[in-house]
Amino acid sequence: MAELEIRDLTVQYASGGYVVRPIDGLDLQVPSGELVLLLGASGSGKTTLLSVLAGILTPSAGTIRFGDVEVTGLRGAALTNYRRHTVGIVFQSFNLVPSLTAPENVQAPLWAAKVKAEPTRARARQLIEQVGLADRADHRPGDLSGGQQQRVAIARALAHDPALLLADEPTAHLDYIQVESILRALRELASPGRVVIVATHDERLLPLADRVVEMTPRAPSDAQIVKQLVLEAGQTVFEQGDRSDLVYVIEEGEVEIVRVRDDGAEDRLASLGAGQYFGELGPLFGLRRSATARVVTRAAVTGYPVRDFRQMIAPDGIAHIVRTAAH
Amino acid sequence: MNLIGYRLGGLGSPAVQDGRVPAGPGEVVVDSELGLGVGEQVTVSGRTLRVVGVAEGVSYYFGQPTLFVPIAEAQAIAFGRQPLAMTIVTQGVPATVPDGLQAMSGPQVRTDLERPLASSTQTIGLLDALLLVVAAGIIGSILYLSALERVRDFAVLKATGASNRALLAGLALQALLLAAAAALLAVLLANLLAPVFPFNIEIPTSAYLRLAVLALVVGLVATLAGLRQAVGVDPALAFGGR
Repeated sequence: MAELEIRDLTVQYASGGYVVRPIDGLDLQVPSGELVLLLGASGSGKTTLLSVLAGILTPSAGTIRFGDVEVTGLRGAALTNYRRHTVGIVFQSFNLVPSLTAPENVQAPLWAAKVKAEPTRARARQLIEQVGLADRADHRPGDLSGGQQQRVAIARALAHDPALLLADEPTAHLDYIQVESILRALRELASPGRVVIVATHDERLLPLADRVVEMTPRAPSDAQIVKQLVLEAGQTVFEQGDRSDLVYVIEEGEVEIVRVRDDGAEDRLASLGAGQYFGELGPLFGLRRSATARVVTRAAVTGYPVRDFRQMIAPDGIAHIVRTAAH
Repeated sequence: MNLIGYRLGGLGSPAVQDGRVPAGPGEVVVDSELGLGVGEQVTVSGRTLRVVGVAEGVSYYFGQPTLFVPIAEAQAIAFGRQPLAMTIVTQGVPATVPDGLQAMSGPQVRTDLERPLASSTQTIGLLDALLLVVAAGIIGSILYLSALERVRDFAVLKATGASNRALLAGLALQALLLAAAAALLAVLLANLLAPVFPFNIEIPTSAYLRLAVLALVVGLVATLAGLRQAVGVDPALAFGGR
């Protein structure tokens, strides 16, 4: 049985007045002892997924089960308890408290859990030694290198010996020498009894992983062929938040482009007729659909894979498409 | 300066620290605040008096020094030698008081002496209250800015399982320490500066107690300034770069 089980997870929230759905129907099973890489560009939902796994963000739909606990069903004190004892987080930019020494930073989660002073100090000492910083124990974060700070952050995340370790871009601010020690530490931590999840946009980390979750929405396999559609008024070609596949050219009829706001209302961005195209930026840049394309009067549209579209519309480059895009 | 004329050998004779009390006209005992020594001369309303004694701590009206002269000398200076007096000092309480006079006890006289200073003391009281408000404002601002600076720290602590109560307790402790340190500094400064003032300053025990209570209240009120930052922060803020 999988230690971590995510079923049909959807996260949707309002951003800038519009509805955004960075995670849409995610399924994932991870056995104990594995290291999972969440790979994707900025805005692809990696950090959102970490927040949900950490019990910080409540998903819009779906379930997360870790061991015997259904995380998505936890509320109040039970959720705080889960955060304290089951999850350890290594934040991007280390996020150490600058006024505390390295061991004090490691002690902070134990203070929060009201662990007694002596065991707290002993645990911090042990973890600081474990990450190889015994000789820097009196230093504050400002006196440590990036790699050393990240190792303190890992030690802090391990304070409660969590069964789920989450790391957000753990190598983002490190040089290649420092990266090595962090990767080694993360790999060693993915041992039986623990699941390690690392969010990154850095594909060089791929060999580290037992399992990779591609977070950037890739076009489905049928996006490689030209598709012709005839749609009635009111039908949609694609909806806001969908994975982007093809670029559409209107053969006949009228199509409107609308964006759904967080209050449910729609902003009409454009109204397009025969000979015009839409939905080019999503597949070009690997982004989800940022608006809905809805047929106004019966329309025939042809969907082209990005490569065909570029050949056809912009053989000299895509810069002018980006400049003139309606959305 | 204040001028007191008294009947030589009678009530009202000053306690002299240096020299002696006046023995006749033209002699004066001065308050040490005047800075004159025995043998020196002082001219009052055109009459030259010889200092025969120096007394200490005999000033009123915010440190105005007092001169003690024989009553005839005072009448010559103030009333053109007419046999007038403004106050009659008695031992014991008079059974009847002549018309136009009023019997007052020692404490009543002390209070009555403060009457001309009422507006001044009121102003000082107002300044006192204003300074307290300013102090509370400064402590509140320091705490607010410090909380604002540490929003990400709060988010990290929350993400790692710290409760709102724990964060608030930390803030309150910081505010109380700040207020207590300020109060302690105020006590030290007050005791250091009091002797420098040209008049006698007494700091009653009740003032220290009032200060301690005020420091507690100011500290707790200042905690409110950082409340929103600590409680309202979204732990998800801990994710993402700086």
